[in-house]
Parts: sequence; C-alpha cells; structure tokens
Amino acid sequence: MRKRILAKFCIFLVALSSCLCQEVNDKSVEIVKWKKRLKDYPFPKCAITLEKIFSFPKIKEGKEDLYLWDPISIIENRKKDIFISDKKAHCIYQFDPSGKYIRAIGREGQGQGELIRPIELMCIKDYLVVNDSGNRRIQFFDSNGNYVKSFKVFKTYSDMTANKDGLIFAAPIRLTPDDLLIDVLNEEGKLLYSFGKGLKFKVDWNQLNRVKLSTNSKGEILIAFWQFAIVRKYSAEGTMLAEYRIEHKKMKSLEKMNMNRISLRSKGDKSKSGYIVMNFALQAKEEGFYTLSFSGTPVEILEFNNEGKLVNDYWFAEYEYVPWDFFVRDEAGAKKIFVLHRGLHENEIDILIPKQEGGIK
Amino acid sequence: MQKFKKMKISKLIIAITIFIAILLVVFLRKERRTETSGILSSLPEFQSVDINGKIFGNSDLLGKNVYVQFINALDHDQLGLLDAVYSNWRGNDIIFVVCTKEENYLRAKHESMYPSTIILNSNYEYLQKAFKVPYNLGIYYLFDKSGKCIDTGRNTVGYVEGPKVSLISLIKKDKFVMADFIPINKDISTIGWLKQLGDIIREHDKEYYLFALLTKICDTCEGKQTIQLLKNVYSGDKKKYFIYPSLVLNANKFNQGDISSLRSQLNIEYRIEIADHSLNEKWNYYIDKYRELELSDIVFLVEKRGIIKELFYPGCNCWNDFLEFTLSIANSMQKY
Repeated sequence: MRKRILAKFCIFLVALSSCLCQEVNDKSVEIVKWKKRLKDYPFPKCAITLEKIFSFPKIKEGKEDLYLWDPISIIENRKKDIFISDKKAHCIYQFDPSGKYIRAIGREGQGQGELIRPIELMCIKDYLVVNDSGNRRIQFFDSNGNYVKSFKVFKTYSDMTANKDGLIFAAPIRLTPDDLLIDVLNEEGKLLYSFGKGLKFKVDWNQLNRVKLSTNSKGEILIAFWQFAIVRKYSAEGTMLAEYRIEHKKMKSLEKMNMNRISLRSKGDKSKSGYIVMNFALQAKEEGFYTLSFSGTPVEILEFNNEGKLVNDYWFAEYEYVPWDFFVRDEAGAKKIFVLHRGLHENEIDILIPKQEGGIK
Repeated sequence: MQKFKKMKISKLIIAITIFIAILLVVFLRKERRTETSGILSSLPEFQSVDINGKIFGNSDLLGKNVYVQFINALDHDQLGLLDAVYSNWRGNDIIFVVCTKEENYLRAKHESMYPSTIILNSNYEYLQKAFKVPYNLGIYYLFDKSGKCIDTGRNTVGYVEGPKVSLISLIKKDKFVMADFIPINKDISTIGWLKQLGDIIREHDKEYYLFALLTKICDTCEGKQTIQLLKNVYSGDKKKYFIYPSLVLNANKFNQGDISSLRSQLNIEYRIEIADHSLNEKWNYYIDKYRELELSDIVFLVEKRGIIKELFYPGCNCWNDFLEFTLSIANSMQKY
C-alpha cells in the first residue's frame, strides 16, 4: 500500500516538474526549430553570407552610459556621420563614420530643439531633419546638433524621406480608399501635392497600402509596399516611372500567404488578423535599390539593379535577431551594411560585410 | 482473477491521479496569470510589511485618502509619476503607499525623497493579487476616505493625464466646470476673454457662428471630428451667409506660421485664428490648473446677437446632441 502511494507521489512530482521545466525546454526547442527553418530556407544559389565585424554603441561611451532604449531609424549624412533616433530616450544619437559616439541631439520636451518620440530621420542639404512625432512637427538641426527651424505636421504619416531638392515625401495613413500614397511637403510644411494610387482591396485597404520610402541621388522616389513584393519608382513630380515585381522565392511565398489572408478576410473570415511584413526598410541607390527583408529567419538585404532585377542577396542569421532599419555604405565597391538591430537584451548597430565576392548570375 | 481486477483498478487510480495532477498544475499556472486582473472598486483587505519591518494593512488606511502606486520597474515614467504626485500633494490630507519589488532603490530614496511614504516590499505578488493589478503592470490607485476607488490608471500616462484631476477633486474639492470658461446662454460680448470672438461676430452678418478651440490637431486623433464638422458646415453653406465657422488655436501651441501648413495639409478653407492674449491667458489658466484633455476640442455655436447657444467639450457626452442641433441648423440653411 505504502509503495503504491509512494509511486503515485513520484508520478505526481514528475508531472509537476515537467510542467515547470517546460519554459526552459521551450527555448531549446525554439532554437532547434529556428536552426531547421534556417536550413530549409530557400536561399538563391549565390546568396552571400554577411559577417559581423563591429557593433556599436558600447555601453560606456566616454563618460556617459549609452544604451539604445527604443531605436527606430538610422541614417548617414553626406559626411558619413551616423544618426540614430531613439523613441524612448527622446533624442538622436550622432556617431562618426566609424561608429564612435559624438553627441546626443535634443532632449525630452516641447520646446525648440526638444523632442518627444522622434522617429524618421532625413538629411536635407547639411541639415538633420527629424520627425518629432510626439510634438507633431518636423525639426531641422544643423551639423552641430543645434536647432534651426521647425514646422507642424497635422496629418499622420507612417514613413518619411527627403530628396536632394529639399522636398519631403511622406506616406500618410489613408483615411479613405481613394487617398493617395505620397504627400509632398516643402521645408515650410506646405503640402504641395500628393500622388501615387494605392493597391485596390475591398478589406484592410489602409493597412495593405503601407509603404517604405527612399529617394535616390536623381531626386526620384522609390516606394516599397510592406506586405507585397512590389517596389515602385516615381519622379519627384509624381509620375510613375516603373513598377518592379520582386522575383524572390521567399517573398513570393509570403506574398501568397498575404493574398490568401486577404481572400479569407474578404469573405468575412476575421479569424486571421494582420499581414506578414516583408519589406522592413528600403534604400534607393543611384541605379537600383536595396530592401531589408525578414520573416523570422534570416535577415536578407536584397540588392536590385535599375530594371528591378535581383543582383545580390546578402544574408545574416542569428537567433532572436530582429533588424529594424539599415543603410548600405559603398566605398569603392566594398560594401558595409549597417543594420539597426533590436535584440532581447540589447539594441545595437551591427556593421556587416560580405564574406565572399559574388552575385546572382 | 480478483488480483487482476485489483491491479486494473489501481492502475486506473494512478492514471486518474496523474490526470488530476496535470490539470491542477495547468490550472494553477493559468490562475497565476488571470487571477490578478480585474477592476478594483474599493480598498482591498491586505496585510504586508513596510521597509522598516512594521506590519501594515488596510485597517491602517481606513478613513484616509490613499494614493497607492505599484512600481514594477525603475523606469523614468513610473518614478516620474511618483515624484510628481509626491511633490505636488505631500503635506496634504493623503497617505502615499508604494508597492515595489525594487526594495533597495526605494529604501535608499525613502528618507531623502519620500520620507512620509509607506513602502511595501514584502510579497509583491501577493499585493498585486490583492489589488488586482493586471498583467504585472505598473499602475496607480486613488481611494477616498470611504475606501472607494476614485481613479486608477497606468503609471506611464504620467501625472497630468493621470491622477492630477482626481487628486484636485479629492483633496481640494475643486472640479473643473466648463461653464466657468465658456458660459452657455450668455452674451459673448459680456465675457472679457471671448472679446476676440465677439469682434468676429461684429465683423460679419451671419445667422450663426461656429467656434472651435483647439490645442491639438491631427487627422487621425484629436480634433478630427471637429475639423470635419466645420468643413462640412463650410462646404454645405454654399452662399456663405448662414453659419460662419472659425478655428481658434491656442497661442502656446501654434503660431501664425502654422496656419498655412494647417490650411494646406488638411485642406481647410474656413477662418483660422490664433487666440489673443486674454483668451489664451484664461484658456491656459484652466489647462495648467486641470489638464489639456478637457480643454481642447471645445466647440460652440453662437447666435447672431452673441448668445452662446450650444456647447460641446470632451467629457460632456453630448457630441450627438451638438451635432444634431448644428446639422438641423445647417439643413435649415438649405432653404435660403
């Protein structure tokens, strides 16, 4: 009898400990799954691995403790200084071209030069231009981080960029299905014109027309749809110059999943909400563009030529690595990719370089 | 045969025991997550120990105004709220109770910054459960002397948008009344701080004037419906002689330069003014004393002879009545 009770008690203990240990096991199971997903990932044959060579900022930068609380956007100016907006620290961090900390621009507040939840960053001439979202304004700072001017923003924008002529292109949150994709503002905040017809959908037409923006050295503007393998190029005046359908196996399959979800939701099935984002960020270059793609595994920086053909597929994989924004620095053909990554324990900028020369033939 | 039966039964008992044990564990794990969430209507019964080791419970708080804050992380928002509440209301008829896991930090601050605060650190999870703190959030509660919960919210909303107005009402017995700022059924020309608006009425010969006072404008948030209403009224009044809409902006938030951006970005054709000194002073007096939330998006309709006829403001729960009245006038203008 005693033996039987003891046996029952042992079984109870085993059941209890197995439940409690579940959380610990969950992580190792997740890592195994992640490795399998990476192994099964449909890389193009000549995909190029990226190698991390340096990360910044270091927690101790000079006399100050520097930690990126909620970094949103990264950009480099003409002098190749690097700027990062931190939404939670309510400031912009400036680094030299090698990643050495220079200064923090702005502090929390509503006054001139003060910021609340800064998000997008732009460079107009030598000015750093900040979307100061909490104060609903755009602020201009000079190269030393001093306040220059600002204007108020009354519309809600999901992304912003500026071209060489000082025109600011902004993607508004669409309030009606007929709203256009891009607003063009001047440096005084005057809305000059709008352009770009959205993709037509019966449901979620606002969410499905979110775009990432970037301008090239000719002043043209490129837009990448968040949930579709589509990039468009417009002139600054709003004439559509090209629409590229991205030929990439994984992106095509994600797009198909989004299309299936749209079809279900159109039929009134609300069980699946939200869509997969495939274009996290976009960077226009003189002839072509780069996109940052990520769907859990791995991070891919895709390089396209002026015809929208994939010419390089750079990839990087690290468990629990979430890229947020990026830019590519091309120094005489040698590429350095700066990725703003948000991790579980730290947020950093990683400098990645291609491990081997190559390209997609 | 009997032995075989006995063995079968004992195996069955073992299987049931395991099943119950697993169910129990799963249930308890779920319980841990859900039992803490809920809405607290009055000061709960609890007993804890403060940082000096003194036993402390709800009986020590009966008959007193009590501010309770749960701090789950030492971040700027949560400590900022505690600092603001403490510095503004210390020495008044209120007890401050802070529940935290961050014992060492607050112990160090206790004597220097919050000497009259009761800091509870023992068994944080028990306190969370007693106060029904949802999902381990950092939240605050305000209880009056009868133990009734009169305000609660997340620490991250901050002092001004959070407990400020409730504290003023509880301690100072002072409540914001919109009629003190925009008195309905009164002649606008007799109200000093509304002189600017009286001048607009004198300048024109319209049947009605629709004024909207705004401190914040955005196409997807504050002021959205007001901007749209004024737009509808303006575009509907084709002959432009019936209702005259004007947007009046707070001068602390906007300047003349913002008007052209606003016009172009939101496609506004009707009149936009920046509040003059006397209106701005009065307006900001109330904003500072209470909070901006109730003092932006105030819309009122004034008759030709200057009488304030209909008023809408956040918190009045009268948008539909206001809209109905305004639209009935707008419809009647079609007959002209």
